[in-house]
Amino acid sequence: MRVSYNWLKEYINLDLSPEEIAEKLTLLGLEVDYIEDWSYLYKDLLIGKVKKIKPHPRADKLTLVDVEAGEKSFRVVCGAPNVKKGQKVVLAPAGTTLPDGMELKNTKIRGEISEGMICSADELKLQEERSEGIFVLDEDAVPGEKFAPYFNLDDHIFVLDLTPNYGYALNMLGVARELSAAFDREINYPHIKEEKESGRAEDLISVEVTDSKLCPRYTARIVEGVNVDESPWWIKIRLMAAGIRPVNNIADITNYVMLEMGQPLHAFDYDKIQDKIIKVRPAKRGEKLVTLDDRERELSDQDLVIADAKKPLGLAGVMGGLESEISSKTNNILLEAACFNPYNIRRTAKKFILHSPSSHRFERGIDIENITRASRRAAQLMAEIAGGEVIGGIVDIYPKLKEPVRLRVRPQRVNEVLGTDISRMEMKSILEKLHFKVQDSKRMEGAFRVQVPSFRNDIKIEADLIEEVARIYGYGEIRGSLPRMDMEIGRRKPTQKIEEKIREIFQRAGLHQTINLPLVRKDEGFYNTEGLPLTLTNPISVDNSCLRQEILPGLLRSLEFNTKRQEKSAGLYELGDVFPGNGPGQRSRLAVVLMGATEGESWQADAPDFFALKGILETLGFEMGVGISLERSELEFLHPGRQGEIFLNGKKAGFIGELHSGLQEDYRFPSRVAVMEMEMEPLVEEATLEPDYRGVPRYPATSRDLALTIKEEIPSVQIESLIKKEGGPFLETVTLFDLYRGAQIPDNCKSLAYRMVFRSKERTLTDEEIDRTVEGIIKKAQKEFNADVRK
Amino acid sequence: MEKKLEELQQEALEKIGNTNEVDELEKLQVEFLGKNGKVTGVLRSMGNLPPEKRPVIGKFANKVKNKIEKELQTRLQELKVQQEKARLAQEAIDITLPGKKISRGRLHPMQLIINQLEDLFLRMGFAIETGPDVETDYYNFEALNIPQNHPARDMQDTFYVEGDLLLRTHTSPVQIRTMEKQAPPIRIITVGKCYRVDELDATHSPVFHQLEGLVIDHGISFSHLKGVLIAVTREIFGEERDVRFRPSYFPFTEPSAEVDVSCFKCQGEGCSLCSRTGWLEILGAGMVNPRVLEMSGIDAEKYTGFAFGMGLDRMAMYKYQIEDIRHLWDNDLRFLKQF
Repeated sequence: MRVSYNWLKEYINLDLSPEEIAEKLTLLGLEVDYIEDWSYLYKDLLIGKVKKIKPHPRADKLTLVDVEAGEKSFRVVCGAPNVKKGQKVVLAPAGTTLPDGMELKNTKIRGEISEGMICSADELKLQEERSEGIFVLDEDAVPGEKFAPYFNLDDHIFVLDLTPNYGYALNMLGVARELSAAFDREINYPHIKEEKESGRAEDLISVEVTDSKLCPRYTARIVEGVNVDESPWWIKIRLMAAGIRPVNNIADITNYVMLEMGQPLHAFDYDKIQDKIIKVRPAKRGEKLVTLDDRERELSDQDLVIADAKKPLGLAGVMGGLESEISSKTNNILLEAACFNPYNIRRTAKKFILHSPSSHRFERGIDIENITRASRRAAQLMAEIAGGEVIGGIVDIYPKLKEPVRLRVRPQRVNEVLGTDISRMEMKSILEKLHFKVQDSKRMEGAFRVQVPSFRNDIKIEADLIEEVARIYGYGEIRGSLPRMDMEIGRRKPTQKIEEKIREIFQRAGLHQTINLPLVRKDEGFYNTEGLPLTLTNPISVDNSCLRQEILPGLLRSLEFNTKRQEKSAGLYELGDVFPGNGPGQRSRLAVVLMGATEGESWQADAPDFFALKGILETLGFEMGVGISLERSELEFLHPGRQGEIFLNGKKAGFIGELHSGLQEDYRFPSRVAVMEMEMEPLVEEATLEPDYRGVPRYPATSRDLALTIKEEIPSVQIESLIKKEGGPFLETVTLFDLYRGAQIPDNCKSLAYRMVFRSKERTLTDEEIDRTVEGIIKKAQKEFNADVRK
Repeated sequence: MEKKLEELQQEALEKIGNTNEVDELEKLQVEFLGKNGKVTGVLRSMGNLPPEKRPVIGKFANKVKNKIEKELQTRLQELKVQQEKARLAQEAIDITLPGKKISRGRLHPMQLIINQLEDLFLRMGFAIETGPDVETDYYNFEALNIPQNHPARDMQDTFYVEGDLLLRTHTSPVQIRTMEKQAPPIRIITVGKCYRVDELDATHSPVFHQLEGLVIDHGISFSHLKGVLIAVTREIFGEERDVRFRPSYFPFTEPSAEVDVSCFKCQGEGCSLCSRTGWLEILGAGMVNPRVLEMSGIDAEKYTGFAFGMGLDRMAMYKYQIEDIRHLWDNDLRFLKQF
């Protein structure tokens, strides 16, 4: 809703600056998005009078025009064919700015200096199409004065962003009423002549409404002998301020009254109505109608139409039909003012994507008791402006009078809900300012019985009235306080604690947290086995049409984003939800990508990224008190020799590996990328975040190093478990510290070096007993793996 | 003989005084006090002296020996101190060279906001609830007093999922889910992703994060709503911020409010960030609509409550003055490393 301040002043004049009005409106709940300052746009323009016209010496189509504006005179080079001596025109002197932001300079046009410009209607932004000639003003314009006030363009437009409950404020009087309540001032209502609501109208038209639920009230009025033409400028400018394009005086008047009073109106060409009957009925299935926007619509029996004896003339409350449109040949008008069912209007408007100012108001509810007044107002304006004659009487189909809503309001409850101490009298006065009728309740002592005015369709329960009191009292006036509640300890759930811990561990590991859109392409994913993804019926694009089933693809996209920007190394993770396609329940997963990890100086050098990532996974396991183990796997998108399934305390959780070289190439990653993804559930089940303290050792430890040469294919984990098994009760830790291949090691063999630490809780161990244990380990290794001891 | 000793002492002290090397001093020790040293030699020749003279000379010789020994030690200490000083001088470094880097990952700015808010609410005794992203029409709309074909549905352009489901447009369904399973008093927050039909551009995103709060108990009032939200706003944006409440509309709260905070960029003067209003809209709130309470099985006469919801993406953008919402989704390391 766009509200012209100049227009608003016609109903309520507050002598406040536009900014003050805007702030008050916002604090009343009618949020002002911004103020459009027209007075600034038009500030430089002057009214001028054409004094003298001379031909341009070097151009046929140009003339040299002397324009007088008060004391000053300007020589302007003009190309308009319609410039005539004595005309009052709009002058933009050089050095000023036009409404569209263009700056004018003193220029030479074909050798002649032009000291400004005579403006056309489109240059003044008064019409959209380019105009052939200059804009000519009426005789009463005074040369030398500013153009803006003369044309009512010294205005400010409040652009309101109204929530759906403010249907009653979608018109000038509605906004004025709000301000009148806030500032306690009277409103000047427009003057509408009383007319006898009886006469020939009923002989000229009959109306049938098939379903009063869909159309609770329908009125028709006749205006004869109109002269369809352009509207006077004062109407056009008000419509433009409201953002509505002027069409012709009849259509403009219907819009004008809608903007003024909130009642959508429609004018039909009376002579095109077959058999002079209006039928308000559901459309027949397959029936067609060409709407005003020149598009053919196929209707269904859920759409309500305004029809004559033969065919639909318009979509009720949404948009009129092209055929019965007002044209320059129209003589007689049927003026419709009605009330339609909000939900039905909304459904039709949505279906045809036809959101009109009229459907917008019907959807939010209009004032059913105001219909005949609005109709009368429009008819009178038509008579006044388009020279028509209002035929007496109105056809008014209003079978079931709307009962006013009456609510009980308990002042004590108001104060309880608001946490205030507003007096009963003040509440009463606030509600009365808002046109509620307030009486003492007969049934409950102290309570009010409040009658809701017919324009307030949004007020249905006591809480709605509590808001009304608060709104006018002022939200700012209500003191803030902290609630007194029972003591309670706020705490995170175990899952949330574990997630927090993961983020902390990863942060220390140098990984950066990412968040990726869960909306992805349909075929995205590497290993999913959970059916087709959940698919959106109204996606914004193919790339965001499904809910993700894996985290990794998004993470790789983020990595790609960064490598395209010259990043050589990156560690990224995401802890987020995935959505299985074949069953309910989203679940959390954790995924990591790692590229270009620092090359370690130890045995890890031949696969830095894999082992760097495995190290992070093991750290995670260690910190959560969960055992991590890997088993070889065969996932196609991973390096066939560098991948494994992850087990947490023996529970299958996910995978880890290096990206397959083919994929690495597709993504143009400059080096190998290690990736992992796992379910959070097994981790949450197995994790223990409490430390496991086992006392400080009282006796010294003794360590031994052991290098074993074994066949290449024997995994290290087997040697490690052999050592653990044979190491006896005093073996405290086993750590691999070297992996060696090359000189002195036979082909297809490798040397693994372990450091073993022994310790007893009760005494200092002797070298002899440790040596014996190591001997035992060696013997077993020789026997089981044919291992050689490297000295 | 005494004279000889005196001469030796003289000679030794002179040599010690002139020595600048530890090695030299060691040699001097040998030269004078060693087994075959000069002083030792004199002592050894004492046998040739008449017995009555021996104690006198002996005493004197020892004195000389001690003197030399002491001088040697003193000089040795001096030299060691000098050497250490020289070594340390040599080890001087350019302290303006950069320090050793600790490689540490970063939290996403969204996480920083979430952490800060969660910590604050935990301190106030709130529990943290969760709910699904894929919702039913009932929880997302109907139970929140937004029936079919209500214009309020236009406030939230909804993604629909095949099979009568939708992506939640706000975190408010968690309110309903909580009220259904828990009797008052209720004091919860929930954080999560929400979805609305919007193309991703500098100021819009189809996915965003919301934090929702719900408090229900006897005697909860609008004044409490204000008190809690003012505290939250000041905690996040600073004590000096002005906070403004103005009427708004949400079908599930009545009265409803929009909460603005004074613009950080212009301090309320009016700038491009705040569209020249001096205020930034940060959250919506209100007293839980009695109908919503009743629908969820809570006696609206006995209990009242307030609820609020804030867009965390916008919050993060305001707080860190992030100029483009896409930064929150690109995971550009040049962006992430700044948090």
